[in-house]
Amino acid sequence: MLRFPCLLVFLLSGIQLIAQTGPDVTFGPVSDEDRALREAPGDPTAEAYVLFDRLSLDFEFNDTDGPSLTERHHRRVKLLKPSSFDRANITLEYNREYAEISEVEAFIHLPTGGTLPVPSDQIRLEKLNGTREAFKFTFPQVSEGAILEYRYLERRKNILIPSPYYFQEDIPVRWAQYDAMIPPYYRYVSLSAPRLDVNETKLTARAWGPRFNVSPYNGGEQKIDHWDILWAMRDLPSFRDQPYSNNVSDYLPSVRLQLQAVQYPGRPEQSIFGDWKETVKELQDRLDFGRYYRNKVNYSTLWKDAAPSITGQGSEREIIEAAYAFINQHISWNGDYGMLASRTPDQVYQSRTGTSADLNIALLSLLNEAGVEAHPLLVSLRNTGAPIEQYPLLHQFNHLIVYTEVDGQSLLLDAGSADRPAGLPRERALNHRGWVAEKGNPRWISLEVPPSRQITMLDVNVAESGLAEVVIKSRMQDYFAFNGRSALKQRESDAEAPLVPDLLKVMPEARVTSFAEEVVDDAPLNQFTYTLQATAPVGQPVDQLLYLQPILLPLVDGELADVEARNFPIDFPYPWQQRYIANLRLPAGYALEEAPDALRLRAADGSMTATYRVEEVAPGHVSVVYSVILDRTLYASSEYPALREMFRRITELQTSPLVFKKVP
Amino acid sequence: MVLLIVWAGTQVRGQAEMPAALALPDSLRENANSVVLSYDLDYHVTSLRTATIRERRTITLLNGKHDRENVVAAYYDGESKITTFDVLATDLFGGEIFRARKSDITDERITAEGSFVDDRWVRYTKVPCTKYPCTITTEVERKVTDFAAMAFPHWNPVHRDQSLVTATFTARVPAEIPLLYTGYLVPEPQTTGEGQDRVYRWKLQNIPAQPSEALSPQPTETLPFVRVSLGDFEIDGYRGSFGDWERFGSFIGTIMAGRDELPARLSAEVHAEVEGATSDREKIDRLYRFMQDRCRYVSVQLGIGGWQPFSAAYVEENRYGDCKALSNYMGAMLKEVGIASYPVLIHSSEVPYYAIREDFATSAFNHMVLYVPSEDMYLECTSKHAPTGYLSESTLDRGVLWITPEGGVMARTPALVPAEHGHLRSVTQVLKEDNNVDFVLNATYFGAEQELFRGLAAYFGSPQDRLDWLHKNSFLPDVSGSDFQYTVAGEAPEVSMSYTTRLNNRLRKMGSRRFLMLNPQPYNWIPEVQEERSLPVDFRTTRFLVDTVRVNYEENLEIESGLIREPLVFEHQVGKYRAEMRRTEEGLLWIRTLLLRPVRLPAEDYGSFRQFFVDVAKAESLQLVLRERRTK
Repeated sequence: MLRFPCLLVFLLSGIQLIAQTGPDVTFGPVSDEDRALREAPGDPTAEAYVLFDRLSLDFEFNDTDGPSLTERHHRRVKLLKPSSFDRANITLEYNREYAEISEVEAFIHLPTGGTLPVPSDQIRLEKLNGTREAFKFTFPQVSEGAILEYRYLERRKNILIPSPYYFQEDIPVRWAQYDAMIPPYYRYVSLSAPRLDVNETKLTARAWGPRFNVSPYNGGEQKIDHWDILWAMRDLPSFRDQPYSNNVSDYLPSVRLQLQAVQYPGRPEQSIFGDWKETVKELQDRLDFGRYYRNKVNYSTLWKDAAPSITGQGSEREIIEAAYAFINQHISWNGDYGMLASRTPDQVYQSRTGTSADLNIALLSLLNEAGVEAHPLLVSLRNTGAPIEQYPLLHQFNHLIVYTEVDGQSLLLDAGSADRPAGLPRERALNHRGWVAEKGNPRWISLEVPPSRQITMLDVNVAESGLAEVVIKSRMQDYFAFNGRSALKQRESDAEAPLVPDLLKVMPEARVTSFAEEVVDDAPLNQFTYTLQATAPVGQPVDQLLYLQPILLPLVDGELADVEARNFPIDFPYPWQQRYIANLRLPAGYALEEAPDALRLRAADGSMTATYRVEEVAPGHVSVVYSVILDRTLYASSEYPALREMFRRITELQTSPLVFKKVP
Repeated sequence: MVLLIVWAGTQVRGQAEMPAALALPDSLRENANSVVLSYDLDYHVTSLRTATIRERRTITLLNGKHDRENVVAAYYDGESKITTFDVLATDLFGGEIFRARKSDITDERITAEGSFVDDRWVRYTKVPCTKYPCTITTEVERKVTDFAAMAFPHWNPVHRDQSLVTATFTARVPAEIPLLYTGYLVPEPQTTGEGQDRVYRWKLQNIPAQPSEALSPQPTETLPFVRVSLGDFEIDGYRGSFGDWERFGSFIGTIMAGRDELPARLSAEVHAEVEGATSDREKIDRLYRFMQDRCRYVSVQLGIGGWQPFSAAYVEENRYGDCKALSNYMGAMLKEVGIASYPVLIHSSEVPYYAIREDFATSAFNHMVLYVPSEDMYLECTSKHAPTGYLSESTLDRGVLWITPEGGVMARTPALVPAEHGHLRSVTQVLKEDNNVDFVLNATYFGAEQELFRGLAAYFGSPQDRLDWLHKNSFLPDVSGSDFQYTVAGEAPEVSMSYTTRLNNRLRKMGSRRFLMLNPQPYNWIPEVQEERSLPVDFRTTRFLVDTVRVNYEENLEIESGLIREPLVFEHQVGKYRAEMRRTEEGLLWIRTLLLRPVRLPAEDYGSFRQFFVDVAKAESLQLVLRERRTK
């Protein structure tokens, strides 16, 4: 069974030659054939076509700043349809704290002949926010058949992580190339292993600093063998996204390099990331990570204010809940994610706002002070890449939550909303795996949450006209409860109250008469009980017959049954169970004449089941029991046909009516 | 009477906010998500081209449903400067919970939707209100010059779902510069002379909250406001006046002057393009197509470029421009062949926030088009795909300003006529023995209804992308069918679409019965329920929708339910619905027409207005039940 996307990692070592002839493209001249091209080969519908795209990685050295890396980008795109013209508006964004862009040059090659440059005064440097800047330019005389060509140089001070490179795009690509000239002192790994059309690695001697005096006679510039790499792919089709996908970019062929070790001549090898244990030690020693929540000087004010609500609690669970509640009630989430704190817990508390890391490190400080063993848990958010466990790569993480245990059971805490109970991280954090940054015992764990449950009971009293008084009572748990409570609080109109949009989608003529949360004393936060009353034309009377729609709140939507084939796995954030029970009270004299047969559907591995049963309990009283259980969150694309068939049958059941007949 | 504790301080700094929220009377709590405890807007005109605008506001958020009022923002650009930006928040008892420090304040470049290069910035901070009530006191001062000074500080002291305790607007203007103003639901200002200045003061107190209600008129029609401008101003050396539309239009004409000279080569091409044309209309059409093929819309708004168009020569060289530049370019080409045209200032939106009036000249525009008086024709010059003379729904039926050689003239774009905006759509559903349905759709969308589909063709070059989008948005039942045709008419505002597929999920079989929703694309929008309505109904849709559905089935089936024997007709001021059904040799034919027209209704008519749509939705959800014939 597929657990999560597998990332192949390979080392840049060893000489490989699987070379084919690549295009000889220099900046400026284009061929007459390319100028005359009017559609992408194999895809006449494509709006644009990447003729050539290249990223060249290189390194520089100066005695003051040491090594830095340069990335030369060169791109040539053919515009085929007017819908592609916005692609002529180029924005090259960077953060000047870490990088700079220069040598921006651009040409447009006109289909009828001739080439025009983008004048340098039309290439504008814009300051965005903070240290972010962007070069912006647009091409003149854009038309169908024109070829856009531009190049620029990006310098990065840090050689740790070169820019990732994706060979495939949303439009077809004729040639995509990544090449690199890497000094032998630097050992990189690639976090992906695309099936390359050209895979060429050789040694090429080249001058490069620093100057090491490895012998008494060798003091000048020296030539050393570099890893000379050429990776390329050709004739790639356009890429299309699909619903219920996660970490889609992981499935695109790409190069993602990461520096593993440095070894200068005559010096011992310096590991950049040895293992997770060393990494956690470094993290814990960082001011904006471990020291913020372990040194009381950083959280004394917060603790002083929070202690009265925490220390009086009896059990460890109550202490945890109290600390979690205190953070949620006093510090609001500013909408940003992070894995390192931006300020001390005291500063965050005083400003009453912070990033996800700020909130959760503040929570860690309270738990730590209260004597509860808790640790940071780092995750990469959904759709920002699958976790990579082989190497201790910190940049993969963009969110920090809290890991603790109660009675031997793990408990995940993710502060940020007073309505989300302990144990339920943000939905976006549920990216299957996370790393517990516990000093001395770092480890990867599965981010498992219990199935969220919802039981909805309906009393439907149907009049002869088909109009029904409907009373809906729904007991929601975990994510269903959180979503329900949030919808109730944040609604801007009654039409946005929980369950109302679903009801109106099935029956736009329904009229909601009331809705309310049913407040139950001492009910845990992960439960939400809610009632709704409405009148709805559930039936259609004709002569002696009454056709009745019993499912007023569908449990699944149709999106999963839409496409013929899946390119990517289907990835749900959490497992769930939903049960729908309707008690239908018919007008006097009506008896059930026809109903769908009872049904039980079960996926081959048992991970998904659906049941449906209609029963005439008594004269004029029919019950419909319908449930769907989804136990697995990840399905391989090869499993899609079977899953789609289940979804199709379930959605069909949801719309099947019952037929009643008036008995004389 | 409950004593209101009104904040009357002048400085945010160091102030301990009084717990005024505790003392609010019920009348100011009702329907309110927030309360403006005080709002003082001071507008000090310091010269023909400079002014200082200072706002001091204390607002209490009563709950989390406020409209992002915890975000305090001020806008600026190269001609305006924020000199004060202080934000303080207190809790129910006046205890300070937040004071914006440098690290809490963000400066961010803003790029308007559709704009590529923009030189405007926003300074903002988000107040972390974790408990309510949460009182936010802000003080913002901006110094504005030139064009930034033309963004006059109109006074909208209270919004929907918000009540107001007290607010003042003070305008201090040098005596020699006339202050022009108009207001709604506000008393006349007190005016005094103070030194060399004339001072105008408006004051409002104790305004209950007006609830947000769907389909209600713009707030400028139901809430108090004051709108101001100047009778004399100077910008970048250009002198102007808002004294009336003519003078304001003159000013715009002045800053556009001299930018319509065509390069010689383009001039020759223009003449070649219209050669042989037999009428002005044909010349306009040819040149409009010429411009559409040649140029594209790119918005670059830098400095005076926000008001003054790039020259025709610049557009010709680059083949792009914003609405002003492209209108100027098109106007220049028309001028070259002897056809006069006027640039037109307009507000492109579903409904203009402020409807301009003949008696008060003001800048309430965000777009420019071109008007050809000899043909009574408007040209939308930013579109690469609109038919000649087509104005989109977002620019029809509203006040505009023609920039004529004689000055500004207020006019109105044409109103929408139902017969020109809608669709003719037919669907044939053939029920097969295996319970599949052969589904064929033919549709022509026209007028405003085709804009979406025309835009879709322009945005998605790939038919597969169009199919996906149409399916996702319920215009097509799946994506796996055949014979997908999509035709965008060049000359007329029409888009045609046809599609054929076989569906395995439209017909439900149960025992001897088959169930089929007759209309695959029902009109089932229903306004939300409102038991208590306080605002008038402002319905803006104009459509004429004609649908026919054929259902063909085998002889061994008969219709048990769903037949309509008499035409079904609903009528209301907002529209007319008519559906009828006829037997055919293969099965049945359902024909429905739905006419919708704009209407303004009093609040008490909301119920009947809604009921019309309930009746329509019910009629549209007609289900056919077929069963096997009992006798041969």
